[in-house]
Amino acid sequence: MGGIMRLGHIDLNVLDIEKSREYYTNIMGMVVVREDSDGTLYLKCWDEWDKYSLVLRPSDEATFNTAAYKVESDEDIDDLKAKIEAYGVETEILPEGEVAECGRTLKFTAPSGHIFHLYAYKTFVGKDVGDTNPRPWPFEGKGIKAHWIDHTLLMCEGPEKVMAGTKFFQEVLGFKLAEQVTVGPEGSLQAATWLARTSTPHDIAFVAGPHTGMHHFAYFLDGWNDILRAADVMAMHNVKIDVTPQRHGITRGETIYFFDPSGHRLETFAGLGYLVQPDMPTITWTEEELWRGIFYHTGAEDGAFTTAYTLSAYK
Amino acid sequence: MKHNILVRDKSRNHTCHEDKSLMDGLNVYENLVPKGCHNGACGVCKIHILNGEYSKSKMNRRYISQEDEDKNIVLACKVFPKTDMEIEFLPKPKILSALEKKVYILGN
Ligand code: FES
Repeated sequence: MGGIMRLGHIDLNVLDIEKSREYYTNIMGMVVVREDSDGTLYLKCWDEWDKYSLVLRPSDEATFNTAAYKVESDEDIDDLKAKIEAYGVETEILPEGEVAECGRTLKFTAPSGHIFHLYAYKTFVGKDVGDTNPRPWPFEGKGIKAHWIDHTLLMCEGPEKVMAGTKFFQEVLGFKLAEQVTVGPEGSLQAATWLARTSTPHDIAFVAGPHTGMHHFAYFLDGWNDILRAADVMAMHNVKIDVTPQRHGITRGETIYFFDPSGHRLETFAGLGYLVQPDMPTITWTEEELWRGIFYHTGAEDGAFTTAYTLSAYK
Repeated sequence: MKHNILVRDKSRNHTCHEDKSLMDGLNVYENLVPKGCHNGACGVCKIHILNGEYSKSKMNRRYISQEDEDKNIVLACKVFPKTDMEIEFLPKPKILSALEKKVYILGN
C-alpha cells in the first residue's frame, strides 16, 4: 500500500525528567533506550521493534511537541511532500539524525494546527521476545508492560479545525474515517473524528476544544484482565486516574485514562475494536448520544474530560 | 501532619495532609476543587495563596509565570501545606482565548 504505516512516537515536554523516568519505566513498563546530554529521554515498549515510541524533554513547560508517523519507504517521503505542498501546506525536510535515530524527516503543520513528522527509517532494535520461536510475553519487566504505542487524540480549535484536519488526513495522507461525532444543523459539522491507516479503529483522532493541544496518547494492552491489572498497578503507586476502566462506544476500546507526573493524559487501550477496511461505512454518533459514544457504560460526561489537557508547545 | 485549608471563594474548609498536594487533599469534595490533571499540565487549579506556609514543586510556565509565582499565584496540584492556609481558586487563564467563547467544545 505504501505511505503512512502507523504512529511512531510522541514528543513531549515534561517538568521533572527524573520523576518521568521513574513513572514510564516502573508503571508503564517501558525501557529508556537513549539519553541525550540535555537530559532528553527516549523510551521503548517490549513489543515494539523500532528504537523508541516516546520522547521526553526536560522543560519549564508541560506541553506537546509533535506526533511522528512512520511511512513505509523513503520514496513515500518525496511522494507525500509533493502531495502535501500541492494541497497548500508548507513542508520542511529535516536531515537524517535531526530527529534522533531517524532518517530524513518530513515536517509540516497540518490544517488541524499540529506539527507532524513523517519518517521512513528509525534505528531497529527488535522486540524483547525476539523473532525466532518467541515467547508470547517477556517474563522480565515491570509495571503494566504496555505492548506498543497505539494512537493519539489531538485537540483542535473548534469543529472547523477538526474538519480541516480530517479532510487533510483523508485526502492527502490516505487515512480512512472510521467514526465521527456530528453536531450542528442536520449534523453538518464534525466535532470529533477517528481516522485509521492500520486496520484498527484509529491511529489518530481529532476533537473540538478551545485550544490546540494533545488530549491523550495511548498504549495497547491485550484485554479486560490487563486493564484491571493496570488499574491496580496505578492505584498501588498513587497514579492519578482520570477515568477508571470503561468501554468506549466509539472504537469499542477498553480503556483507562490517567495522568503522568507532568499531567499529560495517557490511555491504556485494549482490544482491537473491529476491523477497519477501505469499504467499511463510516460510523456516526449524534450529539445526543455523544457521551454514550465516549463512555459506553455511564453514557455521561466526566468532569473536565474535554477541557483539561496539554497545550501545544509552539502556539 | 494535617493542616486546615480555608478555600475563601467557596467559604469552606478542609484538612489536607502535608504529603498531599492541595489538589489531591481537597479533591474528595468535588465542589471545592475543579477537576484537572493533578500534575501541572492543564492549568485548571490555579490558586492565589493568601496565607500560610507551603512547599511547592516545579510550576508549568505555560500557566504560571515567575512573576505569578512570586505573588503566590501557583498551581494547587504542585503545592503542599506546611501550616494552615487560606487560598482562593482563580479562573483558568485565557491563553489563546479571543477564540474561546466562540469555539464549540465537544459536549458543551
Ligand atoms: S490540575 Fe492540571 S495543572 Fe493542576
